[in-house]
Amino acid sequence: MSKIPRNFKLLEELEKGEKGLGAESISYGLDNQDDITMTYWNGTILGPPHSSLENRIFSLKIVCDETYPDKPPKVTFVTSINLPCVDSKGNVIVPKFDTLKNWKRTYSIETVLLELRKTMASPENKKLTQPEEGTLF
Amino acid sequence: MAALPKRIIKETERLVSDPVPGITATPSEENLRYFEVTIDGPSSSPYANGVFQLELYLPDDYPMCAPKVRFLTKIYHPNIDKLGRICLDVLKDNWSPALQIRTILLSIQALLGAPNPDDPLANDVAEDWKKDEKKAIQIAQEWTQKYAVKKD
Repeated sequence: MSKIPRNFKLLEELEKGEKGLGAESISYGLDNQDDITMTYWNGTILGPPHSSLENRIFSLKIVCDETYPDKPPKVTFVTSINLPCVDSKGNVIVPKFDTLKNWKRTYSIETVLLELRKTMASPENKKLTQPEEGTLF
Repeated sequence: MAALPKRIIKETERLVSDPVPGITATPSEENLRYFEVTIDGPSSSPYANGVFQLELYLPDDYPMCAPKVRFLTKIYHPNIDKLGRICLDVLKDNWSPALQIRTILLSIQALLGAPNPDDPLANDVAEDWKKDEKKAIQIAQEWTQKYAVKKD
């Protein structure tokens, strides 16, 4: 396998996100349709069923700088959430979130969102007390 | 990284030894499947005097699938969107392994000379183009001056 350059990887991710070819429980796209550098993205995660987050929609910001995908993106929750891997400002803490900590080049924005959703649904997190619905960091 | 297929080596050598007029393609030192490209705007088009930067990548399946190409220079063209993505048949359904990097780049240069607003990618640009072609051409010239003309 050859190494796909950053821009072409992000174009592929964008196309998948735009066409809604990925999982239904998440979505993502460019924050600004004119951003030729494809750096700033936004994403949403639908709260997993059977958890204290069920039916809530969580907005996130994802920053893919020029080191992406060799290095993981920076991920921040906009919607308030109580999770061990998220700090008081909404930033996802890299050492506490395995997908970012053990980042692989083949991962994508979609991987990050799906893995966050899994974390939200995990037995130790799904009953956590959550901020009032709709509040922001 | 796996060895570079002979076909790609040959194409690269020829791009350097026998370059296409008005087009340059330089492979990256880190990734020989990734090229920095420049295309001169055709002289009879609104893109005249502009030098447009593009990037090109040969996926693992190349030449069974088309190269990936994108404009890095902003351009006002009905078949090129805001992210520099290009709507061109030979990059999609009409790709054939008999085509090459050089033929693709020539096709893109030809597309600059012959915008096709009936098969648009940038819908807003295509609409402007169909509504008032003269004005659209003027905007394309302005953008060329602003973004694609080297200033000393």
